[in-house]
Amino acid sequence: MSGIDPSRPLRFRFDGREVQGFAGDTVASALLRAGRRLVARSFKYHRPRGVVSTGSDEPSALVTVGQGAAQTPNQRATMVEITEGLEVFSQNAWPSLALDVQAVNDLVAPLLGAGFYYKTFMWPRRAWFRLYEPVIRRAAGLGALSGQADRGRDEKAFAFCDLLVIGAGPAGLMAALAAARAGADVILADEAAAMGGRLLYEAEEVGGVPAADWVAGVLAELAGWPNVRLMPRCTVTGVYDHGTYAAIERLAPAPGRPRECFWRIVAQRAVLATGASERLIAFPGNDRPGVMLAGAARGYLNRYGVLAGKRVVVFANNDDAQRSARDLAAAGAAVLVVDPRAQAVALGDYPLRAGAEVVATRGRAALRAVAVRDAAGHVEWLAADCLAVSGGWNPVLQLACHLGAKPVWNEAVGGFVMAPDAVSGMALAGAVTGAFSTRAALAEGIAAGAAAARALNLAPVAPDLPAADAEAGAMRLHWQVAAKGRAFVDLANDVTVKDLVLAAAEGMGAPEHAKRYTTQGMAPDQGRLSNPTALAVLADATARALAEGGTTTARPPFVPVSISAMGAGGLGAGFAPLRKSPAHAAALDRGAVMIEAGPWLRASHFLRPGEDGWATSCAREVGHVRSAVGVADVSTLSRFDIQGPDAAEFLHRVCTNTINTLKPGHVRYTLLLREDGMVMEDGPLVHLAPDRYWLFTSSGSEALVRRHLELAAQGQWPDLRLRIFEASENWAQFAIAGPRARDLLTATLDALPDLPFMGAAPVNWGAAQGWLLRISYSGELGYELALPARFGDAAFRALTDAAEALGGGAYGLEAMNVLRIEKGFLTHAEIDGRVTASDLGLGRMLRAGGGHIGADLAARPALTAPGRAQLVALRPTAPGTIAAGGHLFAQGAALAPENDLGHVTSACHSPTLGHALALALLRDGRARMGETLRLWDGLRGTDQLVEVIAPAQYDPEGGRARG
Amino acid sequence: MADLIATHPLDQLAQSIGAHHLAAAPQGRITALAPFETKGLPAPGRAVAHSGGLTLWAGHGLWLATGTPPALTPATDATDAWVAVRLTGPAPDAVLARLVPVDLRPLHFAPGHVARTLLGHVAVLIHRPATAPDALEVWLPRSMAAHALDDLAEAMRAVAAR
Repeated sequence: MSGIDPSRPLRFRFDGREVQGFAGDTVASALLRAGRRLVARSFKYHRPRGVVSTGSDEPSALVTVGQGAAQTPNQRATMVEITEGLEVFSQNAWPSLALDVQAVNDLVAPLLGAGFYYKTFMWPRRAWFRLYEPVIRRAAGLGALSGQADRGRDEKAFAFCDLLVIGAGPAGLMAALAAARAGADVILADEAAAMGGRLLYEAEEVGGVPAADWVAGVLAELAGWPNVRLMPRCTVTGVYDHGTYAAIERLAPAPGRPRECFWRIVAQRAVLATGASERLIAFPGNDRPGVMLAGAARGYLNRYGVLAGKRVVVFANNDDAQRSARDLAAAGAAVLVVDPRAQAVALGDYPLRAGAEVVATRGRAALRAVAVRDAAGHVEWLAADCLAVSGGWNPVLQLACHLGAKPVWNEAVGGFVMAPDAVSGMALAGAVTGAFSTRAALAEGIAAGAAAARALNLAPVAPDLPAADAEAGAMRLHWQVAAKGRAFVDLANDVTVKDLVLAAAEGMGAPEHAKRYTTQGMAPDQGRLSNPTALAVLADATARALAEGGTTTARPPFVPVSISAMGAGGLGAGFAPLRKSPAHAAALDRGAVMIEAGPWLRASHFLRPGEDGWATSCAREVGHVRSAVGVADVSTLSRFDIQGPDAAEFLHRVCTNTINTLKPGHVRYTLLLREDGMVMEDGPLVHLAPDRYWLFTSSGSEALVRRHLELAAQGQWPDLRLRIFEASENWAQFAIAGPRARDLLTATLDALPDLPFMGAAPVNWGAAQGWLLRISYSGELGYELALPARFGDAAFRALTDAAEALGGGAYGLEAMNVLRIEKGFLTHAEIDGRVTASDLGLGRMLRAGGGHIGADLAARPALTAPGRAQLVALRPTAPGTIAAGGHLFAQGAALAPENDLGHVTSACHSPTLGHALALALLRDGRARMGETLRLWDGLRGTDQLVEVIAPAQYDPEGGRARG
Repeated sequence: MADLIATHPLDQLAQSIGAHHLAAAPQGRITALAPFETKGLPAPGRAVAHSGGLTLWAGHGLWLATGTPPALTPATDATDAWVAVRLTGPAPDAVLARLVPVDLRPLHFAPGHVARTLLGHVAVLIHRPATAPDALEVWLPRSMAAHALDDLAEAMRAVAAR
């Protein structure tokens, strides 16, 4: 009873009824101890099911843990450790586990064979999604999600090591020990709560002491090595290129602790020591609660002190299973061994029937009797409450297949195995290679650990091979029993021998076809218990050798992985980082309402007391700029600091207008084209000093523009001497716009330089040294003031105070948008990747002679011919609003795509002009000034008439900005 | 005309969670260097001391110098672009392993090593200072420092919960 602590009883609830267990119990061991054998209903037929195994290969005992938002379905009862107060529920049963009305499916089972759905629900086609599929999904299913947002916390992490040992049974422990002693950085991962693998479930000795004690000794040494990390409860779920492994760790529950950790482990070498998984034999009635694997039956006894039955029949084709007979008989059970091998003999003090088979079972909610047929064909019913079955052992080599290696059938092993060097960087050791005896596993582990150490250029210090059982137990393959009745192969998906035979008869006999036709191997356990048996049944049915057919493909993940663990940290702000301006807190203090603009949080508007919403604030802020002065935070703009003796020449080649004549202390508005001639970005270029420029592009465009510029600098013109710094983070920048902008700056800066329109000069504000640019995105007298970011907060407060004293105030994105629409200035609503400079009315910015990126392709006939959409403004012919997105049609034209003349890109209510105003891209728009068009918005259901007007409606001559 | 007060982007930087402690790292003046002549500058992934401070490799053709920078051009001020934080405790690499996809084990990421990598979603610079070999420094871009700090605190809590 090494696995539980009898001094620490724990109570949990199963379907609302209290169950007592002990610390160390799983839900499965505690339920078995409490005498609960019916724990689940099967997937398709809703047949009563019990616990089959002790590990993650459990196909039947799936439960839901927790309720409400914390509800997690489809947990294997064999893997869930009990904790005080844990709530566990059976699933896929209604109204209750004992009385499940959908068990009627079981009565009509003859109709529900392989391919049933494909054959039956063909017509009418539309009914599939509406009727058949929902009904089928409800009837055949697993646990359900709560429908509530999951508030549980998981985590993700990375780990690096020299050697990853997967599985901590005898082979894994020895591999880890050998490599650890050699000095390797070792991670030992095992999916169970306690390390030791099969040794914890067997009554045997290793090194002259009980196996569990020997395990404890090895673990104590490993824990003492600083270069070893022990990761229990951690299942390696996937193997990827370059020694990368995925693993899911279930943390031992504790307050404040994440539930699961999704690991990505990078290891130079790996030892796969995942052992073997016992298999069932396919015989009628082999799925009743009380039928379990022989190794599990003795495992529950040896590890948890649970006797799975008082009258036990062991049905096995191998000598190893007689360990179960021996252990269970020693614990007081009445045991009979049924062995199909004619020469089988009892290896202990219990009766054995050689040449016999189990051909049927009885008992609805739990096993009551077993029918045994002797070699002569006589059938006898025997009372039994536990049937311990072993059809041999399957190496657990799924992880070795993830990079594409194919397992091969090995008759001597009686299972599929992997060629020794099939997976680069990964060695297999122990039962996973077919080395089933404890001694062989220990020896292979030592060899694998030492080999890994040598591969890591470390001198191996191999542990001595301890004395251990060298007997693996003879076995003769016996996959299925020829008898009438449903013999289950895949318990998890209710697939029987008959289904597989039918699949073969209907031309679906190839393993991959049969899998999809019958769903065998497609349950959450991915057929870990059933695949070899299914392949053997198919081989029989198609009269081919098992070695010929191959296997289905094992893919990650090896066990189910919660999406919440893979996406850990992605809730809320974890989904994407939010960038905050240096003046963020200051803006909030002034009533800013923040919105997400790309990665940035930006002030949409500044709500003042008494204002009822953004529109009111926006109109007031527009008024500030038009009549007094406004202050806007434009720190979010992308800023590139471009330096070097060839910086001017470089910029001349990437910008469309003439740059090499721009003098220091001056700013020029410029365009960047893509190679295909379309406009990529627009913004001001500042010549700060000889060989030094600032290029501004839109907020959040750093990566795109940097990539474009670096490709040109490094790839196209590597001979030009220049460097490009991303400088956005270092600076705060504020737009100061309005007729009283000069007054504001006079009141704040140490000295206001006398700047012409599009001039730039260094300025001082106390300790802060920055730059003042005279540029305007509002159409008013405007400046932008750049200061080191650490002064951004204080500067925004001081500038806003000063603006308010002058009858103005802060303005946000909404007002900024109105101001620029009134002026016909652009954003990426217009620069949508499909427009040329000419489309935007900026054709004059393409310098004569070209020679810049995009110049040649911008001259393509298709980009210069009539019929292109051109930037215009619109206003409604009757009072009303306009929203962006509507499409334009000639009056009287049918609303058809071929008549579509263009669409509205931006729209607002202009408080300055007193009516709705929009920008649009309109076919041949500049030739349509004064026309009245129909504006139709199918999404919003609006239909109105609009007049085409010039884009710059406010101060078209631009005198205000230049004044 | 009031003088402007400098503000740090993180209100509550210093914090202890479990056995780990997060604090501002010594920072001072920072200069970004992208010189045409790179002789004497640290190799990729390394930091070296110069007469006025430290020079850290920071990406393709880019270095960050603290203190008085070497006289190299092109260069630009980056003092306010970065927020350097220092993580100390028994296993700062275990904290960062929750967020950072590179190997920060002390043997592999030794004093004087630098990595340009991700911390969650945020592009950062990680440095194991030669003067504090048990600590790890994370240089965060200013605009995302608050976001990254939340991630760091969460990782510290996750480690403490074990």
